Amino acid sequence: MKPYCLLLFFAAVLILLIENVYAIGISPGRTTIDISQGTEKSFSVEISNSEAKDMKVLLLVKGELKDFISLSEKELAFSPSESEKEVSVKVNLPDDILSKYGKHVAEVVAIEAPENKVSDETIVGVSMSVVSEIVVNVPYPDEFIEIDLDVVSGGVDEISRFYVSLSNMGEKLVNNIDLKLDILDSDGEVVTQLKKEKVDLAALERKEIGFEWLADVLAGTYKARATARYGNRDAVVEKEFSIGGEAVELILVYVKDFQLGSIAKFNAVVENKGTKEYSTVYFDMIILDEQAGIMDEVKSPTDSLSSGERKEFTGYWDTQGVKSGIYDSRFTLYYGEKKLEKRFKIKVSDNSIEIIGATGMAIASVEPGYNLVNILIAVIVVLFIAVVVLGIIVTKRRKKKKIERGVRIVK
Amino acid sequence: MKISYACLLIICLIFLAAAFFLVFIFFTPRLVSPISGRLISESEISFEFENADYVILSRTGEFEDSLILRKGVNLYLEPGTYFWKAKSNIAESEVRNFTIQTRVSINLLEINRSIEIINSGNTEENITVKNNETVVYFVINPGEYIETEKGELNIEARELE
Repeated sequence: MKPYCLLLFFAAVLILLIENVYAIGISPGRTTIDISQGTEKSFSVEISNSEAKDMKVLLLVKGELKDFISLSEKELAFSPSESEKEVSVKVNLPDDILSKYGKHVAEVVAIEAPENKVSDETIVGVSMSVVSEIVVNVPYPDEFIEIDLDVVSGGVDEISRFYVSLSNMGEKLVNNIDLKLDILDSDGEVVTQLKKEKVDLAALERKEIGFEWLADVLAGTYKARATARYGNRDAVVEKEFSIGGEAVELILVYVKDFQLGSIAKFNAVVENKGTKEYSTVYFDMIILDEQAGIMDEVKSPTDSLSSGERKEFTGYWDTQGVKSGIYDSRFTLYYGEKKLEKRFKIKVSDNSIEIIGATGMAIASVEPGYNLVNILIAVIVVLFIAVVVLGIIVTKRRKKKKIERGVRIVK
Repeated sequence: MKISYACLLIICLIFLAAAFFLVFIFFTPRLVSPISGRLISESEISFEFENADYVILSRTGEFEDSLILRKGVNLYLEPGTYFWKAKSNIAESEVRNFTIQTRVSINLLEINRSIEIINSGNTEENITVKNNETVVYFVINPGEYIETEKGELNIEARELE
């Protein structure tokens, strides 16, 4: 049997194996209520139907504050054309909550319960739920700083970024908060210490302070420890992170010079940041159709990847009969005995394929008029010179006239 | 007709003021969207601006560790508050901010006898899988998935603390 026939056979088997796909989402995942703004608050949560199918969602409130929270809907029915729906949340807290210092939590739970069905002689019932937390922080009468840390780690000799968030959970202004960030290696030895200017935080104010560190260290696991010193107290948070991450890293996946109906060339740029050489490296990308069935598979040839090397791996996808749209895909990069898995969305248009995750894109709605700007700048410069020259001439002529007048008076 | 140097000076000054006015009106970078303070829960965001070459994006209002976004550049934005402004080679715009809200989302694929639970949100998720006998907790990064056996399952996802 030819290799591509074998591939088609496996793809067909996988399509048959996938029986169902369910999806549900909620945003935001957490809402924090500032009690100093009052005990009443309204906001909305968004329930998403990302698989665009008929779906029924039950909504309920749980947690210690459930009696003080009401929802505009208790049940939502989605049709395939409805990708999201908003639900209003009203929070009306009792006055005595102000004497209960600290954190209080409630949960808005969205549940999708597919119908029970029989499969392989087993009754299968799956219930899926997603939770949006509502957090109420009641300020402490004293000074109280909460600290949190977010790490966006880079590779070796790259910038790693640290975001320290400081929240004043007390009722008083806290002055001169001294903030430092220690980076520790796996033995607990301080590799470097980063400092920032002192910070002031008003009651219930939150600030985020960014640190940057050029990781000129070996790949491995490190720990970031942020310390905020205020008065005689320390608020400390620690987080482990890895530099270099996976030894083999997927840098980029792109497709260029594409026309729908032709063969798309998927290029995956891969870098080996470790010290070991891998003799078998390749990628496999499964493209799913709208029902999450396997539509196609893109596979690159196997190649080696030595330490420190960056290489492009290429796979081909025949888009004959493929429609424009957004498709889910499962990308797996195999290197040696290991694998790196990613989920991408593939946006197929008539003349481009975009590989997207959660992305931002800059769009200039009007092209900047460079030429006109340059002309205007030139005009300004010329006019400025003319004004200066004319100013000098006019001043000189006035002086000359004054002198001439003086001579005439003397005569 | 004779024009004095003083008249010429006044005319040049008027033209100079007009040129500055034109630059100010037509070539000051302006931001279109997202509007200031916008809460965004979608996975894609577009920066729209006029009279500028690129966008500067930062997690802090002081633009301490900023990123430059040129037209058509994609990047992954984690949930959080971001500050942005547009810049041309002669001026820059006001500063606006927007917040990417966390989105807790799961996709579930039934494949033969197993179930694949995928974190399709934009934040680390704490996933609880309960069946009649056991409760198992997982932490999954966005885009990653776990496999579990099919059965009577109760799957709950929430944002990681």
